[in-house]
Amino acid sequence: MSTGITSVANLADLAAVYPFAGYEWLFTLIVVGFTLYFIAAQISMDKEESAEAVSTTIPATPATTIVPAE
Amino acid sequence: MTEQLGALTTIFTEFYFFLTVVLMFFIHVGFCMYEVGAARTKNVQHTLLKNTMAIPLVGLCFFLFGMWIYIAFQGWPVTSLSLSLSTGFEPWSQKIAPNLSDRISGVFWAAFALFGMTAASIVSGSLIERTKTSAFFIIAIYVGAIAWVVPAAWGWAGNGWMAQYLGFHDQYCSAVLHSVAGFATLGVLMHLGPRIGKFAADGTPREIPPHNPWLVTIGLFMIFIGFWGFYAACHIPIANVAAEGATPYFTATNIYGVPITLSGVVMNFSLALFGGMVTAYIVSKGNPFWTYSGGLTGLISASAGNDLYHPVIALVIAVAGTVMAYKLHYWQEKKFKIDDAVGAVSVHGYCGLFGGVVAGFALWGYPAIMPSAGTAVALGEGVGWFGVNAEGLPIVTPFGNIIGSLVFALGFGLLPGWALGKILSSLGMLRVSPEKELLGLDGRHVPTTYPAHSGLEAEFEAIQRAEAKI
Repeated sequence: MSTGITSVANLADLAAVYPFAGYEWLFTLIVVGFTLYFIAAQISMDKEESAEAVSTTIPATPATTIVPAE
Repeated sequence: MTEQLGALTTIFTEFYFFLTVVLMFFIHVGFCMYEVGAARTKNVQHTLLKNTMAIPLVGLCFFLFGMWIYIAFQGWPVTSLSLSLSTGFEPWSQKIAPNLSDRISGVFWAAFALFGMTAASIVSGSLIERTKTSAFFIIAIYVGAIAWVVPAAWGWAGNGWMAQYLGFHDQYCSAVLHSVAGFATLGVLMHLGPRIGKFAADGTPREIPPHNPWLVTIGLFMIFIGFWGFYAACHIPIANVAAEGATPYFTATNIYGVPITLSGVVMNFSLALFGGMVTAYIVSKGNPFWTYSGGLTGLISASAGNDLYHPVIALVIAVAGTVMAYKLHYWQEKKFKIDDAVGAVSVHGYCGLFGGVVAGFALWGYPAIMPSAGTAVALGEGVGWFGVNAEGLPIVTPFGNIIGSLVFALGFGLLPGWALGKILSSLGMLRVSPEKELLGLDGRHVPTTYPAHSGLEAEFEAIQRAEAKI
């Protein structure tokens, strides 16, 4: 992996300084895939949790009695 | 000398926007704390992650298309019917990456992405305790990376067609962002419905107390801090706005290229904040939630013109907007059974619309834009449908601001929010089941939120005692 840049003597000539410059279309596809995977995984997690909730007994939160100060 | 000034201007601008991004992150810390505090114990972790994950989600979408929309749509569809694919903000652009020939695009992108995340967070709080995370994600993508961005391109850019032709003025995004997010929330809430038990059989609303009011108030305080960054990010911090060949005039400008002073902006921000807080404190009879929210209602009501108001005008507008927001919140709750858990529809939606409309009256006649090479704002042909000044610049008018504000709030907020809510609801994707809602959205993780209270900590201590034979 290399930026392809080996000298910083002529700064005015330098622009993109990251590795694989010119492959931005590939970077774009990676982000598209990553984002879609994120959303799909969330939808799947929601389905799993819904199924889990249906099969779970719902425990009632104990009510607290507030004792008035004497 | 000119080259040195140019270099200093670039480096200062780069550093300035970098700092605004850092400051604006406090908005998200604030929203997270606020929502977590407002949620009940059984929903705390879900609420936290739902809001937190809007940050990378909207950020990724902003990388893919959000920022491109802002640049590409500025003239569309009035001055141009084509959309450029060489704006410099396409995801494949070399400018939004380490590039020694461009020092501004990245920080500019980040500031806008933070605006987008804020827009999504506005929606988040209102929907807590009964919304599916995936539904919120889809809504967040729309609100954060599309809904407010098109209005911003049209009316929150010196070259935007609404700024040029309608003289639309909304410097700190009252209508452009807050009204859009608030009204989109309202549209979604119409389909989402209230939390179970929120309303009695006769329709009387019940208070669902926050599980931690201190987090709510600290969260809102954090949002105030982030708001300073939000304001700062709406400026061009330094530019020479003089005509070519004239004596240089270096100044900060608003987003339309019109000279302003940060000194004046700080005064207006402060007085709007004070006006909102005091008013909310009084009308709510000292309710902490409303007192802190009053800071936001005050700011959002005055934001559209807070670059040019007098501080006392900002205060008066903040007072009026805050009273309106407080009254409307409870009116819509009683009348339409809208369960807005954090008051976002009123605080952002109604105050945003109000602020956009009021600015048109208060700033009537002021030049809406100022073209200069330093700000890259250029004057179009036939600008100023509602009037121009002696120099041919479009002017701010109530007509322009009323039209723009209504188009944004209804056309990009309420109607799409309603449609999105309807589609998600029809597909069964919007709301969790009643079982899940009662169990708590944290499900089996509920006891881990506060282990000392749930008994988990005592359980582990028992194991420790057994192992240590004490």
